[in-house]
Amino acid sequence: MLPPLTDLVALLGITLVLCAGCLRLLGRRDPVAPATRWARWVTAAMFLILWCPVGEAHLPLVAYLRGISSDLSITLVAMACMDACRRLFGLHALARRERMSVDVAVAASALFLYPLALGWGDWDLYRWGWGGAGMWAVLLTLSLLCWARGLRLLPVLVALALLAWTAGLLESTNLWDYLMDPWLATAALLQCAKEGSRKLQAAWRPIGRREPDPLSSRRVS
Amino acid sequence: MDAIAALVLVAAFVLAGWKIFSRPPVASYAGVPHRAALPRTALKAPPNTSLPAPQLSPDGRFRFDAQFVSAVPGQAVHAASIVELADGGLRAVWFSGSREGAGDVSIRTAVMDPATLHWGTENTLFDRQQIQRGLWRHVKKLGNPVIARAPDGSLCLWLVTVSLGGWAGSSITWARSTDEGASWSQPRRLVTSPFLNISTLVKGAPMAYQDGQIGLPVYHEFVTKFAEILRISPQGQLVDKIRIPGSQTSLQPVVLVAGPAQAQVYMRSGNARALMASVTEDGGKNWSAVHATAWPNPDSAVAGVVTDTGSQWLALNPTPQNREILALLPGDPAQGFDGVRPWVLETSPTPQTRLSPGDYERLLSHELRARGASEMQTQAYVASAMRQLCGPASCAQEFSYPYLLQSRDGYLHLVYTWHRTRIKHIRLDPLQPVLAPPATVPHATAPY
Repeated sequence: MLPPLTDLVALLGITLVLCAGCLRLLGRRDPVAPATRWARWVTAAMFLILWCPVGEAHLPLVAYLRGISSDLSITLVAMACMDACRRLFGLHALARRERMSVDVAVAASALFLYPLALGWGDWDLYRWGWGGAGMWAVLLTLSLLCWARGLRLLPVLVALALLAWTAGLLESTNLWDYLMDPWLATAALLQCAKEGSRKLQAAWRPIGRREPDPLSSRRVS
Repeated sequence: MDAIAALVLVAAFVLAGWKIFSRPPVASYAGVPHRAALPRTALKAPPNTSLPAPQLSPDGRFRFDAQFVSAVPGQAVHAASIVELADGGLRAVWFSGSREGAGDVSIRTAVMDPATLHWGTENTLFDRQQIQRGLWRHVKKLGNPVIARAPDGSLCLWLVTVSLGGWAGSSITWARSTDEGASWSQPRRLVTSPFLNISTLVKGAPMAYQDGQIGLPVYHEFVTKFAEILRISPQGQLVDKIRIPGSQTSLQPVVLVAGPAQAQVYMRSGNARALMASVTEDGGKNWSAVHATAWPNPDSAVAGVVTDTGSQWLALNPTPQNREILALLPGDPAQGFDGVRPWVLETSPTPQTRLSPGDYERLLSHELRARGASEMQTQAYVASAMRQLCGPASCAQEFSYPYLLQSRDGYLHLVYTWHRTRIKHIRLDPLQPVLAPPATVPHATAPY
C-alpha cells in the first residue's frame, strides 16, 4: 500500500538524503571524482533496504528512521540530490560562495528560530511560517539580493521550498519546515564555524604567506 | 539556465504570495463547538428505573451520581476526556496499558447509554500499531487523548504520540469521525514545532471560532514549559498558534470563553505554586502576562467548562501538596474563582497524611466492591494502584486529570483518573440547591 502523498515525499526525502550521504562517505578519498561502480551498487542496495517492510507494523525501515529524524526540509533534500547528481553523473561542483551563502542564511536563521521556538521569550519566530507576510517579504529581499550578487543557489532553493509549501507537499503547513530543519541547521552552523576559523587563521598568518581566498572564485571543478 | 531559474523564482513568489495574502482575517470566538454543532432540541429524560443512585458529596452539601467508566482490571489508566453524542449519550476516551508510557498502551473508549446512564463495555480506539501504520513512522508510546465535537458536527480526537525520548518528545496526532466515533479516519500529525516537531502535548478541551476553525490549548515541555493555543482549520490543518506570554513553568492550559473577544485561560503550575491564569480581550490575538490566582496547584491538571447560563466551572486539586482532594469551583467571568467555595467531590479520609499500604488496600477494596467489582477484579485494580502510587511505607491517593463537559440537558459531567487504576465519571446538576457549609470546614476550602 502506498502512503499518502505527504508521507511518501517525507520518506523519499529521507531516503535520498541517506543515499547521498552514503555516496559522499564512500567517495571521501576523492571528493571530486565520480562515484565508483562499487559505491553506486552499495547506494542502490541501501535504497532498496530502506524500503523493506520490517517490524510488527510492517513499515519500511525508513519509516522507523523517520521517527528519529522527523521530516527533512526541501532545502536539505535538494542539496543532497545535487550532491548525489554530481557524484553519479559527474556534474560540476557548486561554487564555494554559493554553498556559503546558503550556510550563512540557514545558520543565522537557526540561531534565532530554534531558541525562540523552544521557549526563549514570549515571541515565536516560527509563527511567521504560517503565512506571515513579513517572512515572504524577507525571503523575497534575500533572494533578490543574492540574485543581484550573482548567487543562484539560495534563490533557487527558496523557490523550491515556496513551491512545495504552496502545494502542501510535506506534513507541515509551516514554511520554515520546508526551508530548513535541525540537521541542515547543524551542518550549516558547523560549516560556518569551520569557515570562520579558517578565515581567522588566514588573517593571523604573515601577509606574504597568505593563501588566495577560495570564495573569490565562482566555480571549482 | 538563469532564465529558467528566474522564472521559477517569480512563479514561486507569486504563488506563495497569493496563498499568504488570500488568508481570511482572524475570526472571534464562537464558544463551545458541540453546542453549535448539535441540535438544541430537548432531550428525552431518562426513565427513573435503573439510574445510578445519587450520593451526597463528602461534605454533605450537594448530590451527584458517580460510576466507573473503565472496566479492565489491572491496567494503568489516565487522561480521560468525554464528548456528548447526538443521541444524548457520552463517549469517553482515555489511555490504558500495563504502565504509563509502555508500548502496550492504547487509546480506549466506552459509551454511556442515554437511557440507562450506564457505561458500556470498553474497546480499543487506537493502538500503537494502528497509529504507526497511519502515520508511516515509528511511534514509541501514546497518551492524553482529547475528544471533542468540531464545529462541522464531526468528532475530533487529538492524542499525544512519542517517537523519540520521553513525554517531552511528544507531538500531536489527530483523527476524525463522522459517525459519532464508530469509525475513524487514518491518523495524521500536527507539526507544531520546527525542532523535530517534538514537545507539544494536548490536555484541555478545544473551543470554536466563528469561521469554523478550532482553538486547541496545548503546552510545550522540552527545555522549558509554556502554554500555547493552536488554531486549526475546519480541515484539521494547523494554521497558526499563539504563546501565552509569561507562561514559562505553566502547562496544560484550559480556555474558558466568555464572549466573542473575551476568554480566560487557566493553567497547571509546573513548579507546584498556584493555579496560573491569563486573559484576552481581543479574541485570542493577544493574551495578558500570566499571573497566579489565589488557588494553590500541586502541579496537577485542571479542567474547565462554561455552561449555557454563562457560569464557569473549574475542576482541580485545590491543595498545595497533593492530588488527594478533587473539587469543582463555580465562578463567573467577572469575578473569576478567587474566594469561591469549592464543591468537594473526592477526598482522602486523611488528606494531610499518607495512608499505610494496608489501610490504602482496605480503602480501595471497599469502594471497588461497593461498586460491583468481583474479588478477583478488586485485587487486580488494587495491585495496579499500589504499583503506581505506593512506596514501601505509604501510599498517595490520587484523583487527578479531570475533564469537564456540560451536556445539552444541563448536567455537568466530570471524568477523571481514580487512583491511576480506573476512570470515574461524575454527573451533577450545577443548578441544584446547595446546603449551608458544614461546621467543620474541609481542608480544601482554605484559600491558598
